[in-house]
Amino acid sequence: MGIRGRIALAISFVTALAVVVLGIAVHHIAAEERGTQAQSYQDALLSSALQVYQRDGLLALGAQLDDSTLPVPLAQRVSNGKPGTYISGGADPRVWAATSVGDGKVLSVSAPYPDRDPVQKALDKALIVAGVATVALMAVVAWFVAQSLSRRLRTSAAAARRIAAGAPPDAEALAAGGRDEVAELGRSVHHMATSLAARVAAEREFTADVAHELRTPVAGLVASAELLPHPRAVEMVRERAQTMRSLVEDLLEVSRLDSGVERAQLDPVELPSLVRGIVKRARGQRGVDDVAVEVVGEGCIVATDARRVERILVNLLGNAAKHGKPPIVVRVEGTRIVVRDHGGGYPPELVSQGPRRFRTAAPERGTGHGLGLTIAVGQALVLGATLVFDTAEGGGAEATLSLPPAEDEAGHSAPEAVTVRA
Amino acid sequence: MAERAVSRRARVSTVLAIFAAVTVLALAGVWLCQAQDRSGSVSDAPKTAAAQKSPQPIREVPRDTETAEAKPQELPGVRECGLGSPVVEPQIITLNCANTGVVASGIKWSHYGADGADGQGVVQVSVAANGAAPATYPARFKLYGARNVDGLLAFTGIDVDYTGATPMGESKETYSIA
Repeated sequence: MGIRGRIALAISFVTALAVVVLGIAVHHIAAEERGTQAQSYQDALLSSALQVYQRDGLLALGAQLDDSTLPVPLAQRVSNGKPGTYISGGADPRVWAATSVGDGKVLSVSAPYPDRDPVQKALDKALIVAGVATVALMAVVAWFVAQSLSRRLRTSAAAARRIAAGAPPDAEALAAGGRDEVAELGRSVHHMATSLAARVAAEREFTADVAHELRTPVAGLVASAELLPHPRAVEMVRERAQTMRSLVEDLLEVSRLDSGVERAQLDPVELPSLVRGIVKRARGQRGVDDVAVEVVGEGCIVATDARRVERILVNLLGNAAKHGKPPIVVRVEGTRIVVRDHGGGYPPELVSQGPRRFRTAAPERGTGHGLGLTIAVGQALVLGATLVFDTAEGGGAEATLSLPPAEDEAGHSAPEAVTVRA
Repeated sequence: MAERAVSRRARVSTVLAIFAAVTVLALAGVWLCQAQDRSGSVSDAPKTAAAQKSPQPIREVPRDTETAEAKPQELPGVRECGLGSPVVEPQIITLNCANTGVVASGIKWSHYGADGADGQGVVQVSVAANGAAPATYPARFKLYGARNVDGLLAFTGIDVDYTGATPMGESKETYSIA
């Protein structure tokens, strides 16, 4: 049950409780007042009857002399010389008033006192109807009050989700006015998001600075290695320097993708031909060797940036060759490209949360920097494509790149992250 | 430390709330029990006690008829259901002598003369069905028709004009007395 339902239920319950307590109190007070009034009426009647009797010796107003049915408690009081009133129970409840008139005689009046008085019944009915109406009304009011509160919380939650998806902190959605707890929560989330965003920006800036600062000395290192005398030492230093340069280039690319300045240059290309060319060029690089290309159905023409698609596929193939097991199969289905290996599959964290830089999260898939798949995801975002990591049927890692269809097929719905150049 | 202090404060508030709720429920129970005890006990009858202690003064019309006729300043009285001597400025009059179930009571006379009398009081009816229903009705009274009855000067009729609720639904009633 959501917070709206809980608040409405709590308010309705408290209202119902208050209505029940109030109803019982009103019913009880009314019943008591009814008894007091009935005794007062009988007292007034007996007073007049007593005056008539004293003056004329007549029994007026239904008064009786020495009534044998006079209740014992009342008779005892009258015998002490004190007039009194009394409500008797039993099968025939009556309200009594009695007094002594001398010579041991007792003058009394009485009237029926039914348990279920019509006025009392009408009052009870009115209390029930009013109580039910009050509870229903309060439930509706509570629902709307809770709705308002819940709406503000949902707005804050949506803003938090947008921030989690990469949007900048929305001060208007989170730091709304007001001094209540919800507004305080929104302000706190906004401050947290702003703080985290600043920290992430600082990390990105640091990555870019590090990559930029490393680039020059690494290039110098590569050039200097050429001057070393021993061929084996040259080969080793060159290999390490190349690896370091590749890492620096990857870092720079990640930094550019983070900054959001990358733009795709879209051109119509036939996807099977593009994939075949990419795979052909990738063979022999990064350990990519046993790769087969399958085309399902007719080849599809897509408007995309071939260089970025190649970057994505080469990274996926490199990852499959390094961490998976052959054979590696690249399948082209319409606008989708599926890269599958027959290794142990992607780690569960990567499947559920996506790749994270400098985290491979799977010792069984070997060592790495975690930058290749991060770059692939970033490039897919620039293309307006989606890149999904999953486990293939029968085992093995499976990455699916879904490219957006060409404009003449998809109308004018260009993705937000893609700028189409004429 | 701060969390522990907040938790302790919440526990104290909960205990106080439970204590308050139990106290209220206990007081309500005591109140209900006392009310039930009251319903089974004998209560006072202050009006009857007052009537018992101070009976109304009775001023009767003189028996000398000839004197009364010769002296127009002598005031007529009211004979209770045709019995006894006429009473001048009575505070109580039985209106329905057939069953004596309707009585004018607590009458205060604003004018009382040989030509008639005007006063205010209440009409009381014996309650037949429901003892909790009202039994007294405020009304104005007008005595008229003074004549010699059995040698005594007495009014022979009374008009009752109810000023509020009525016992029978009629706002005006006329009764024959004497």
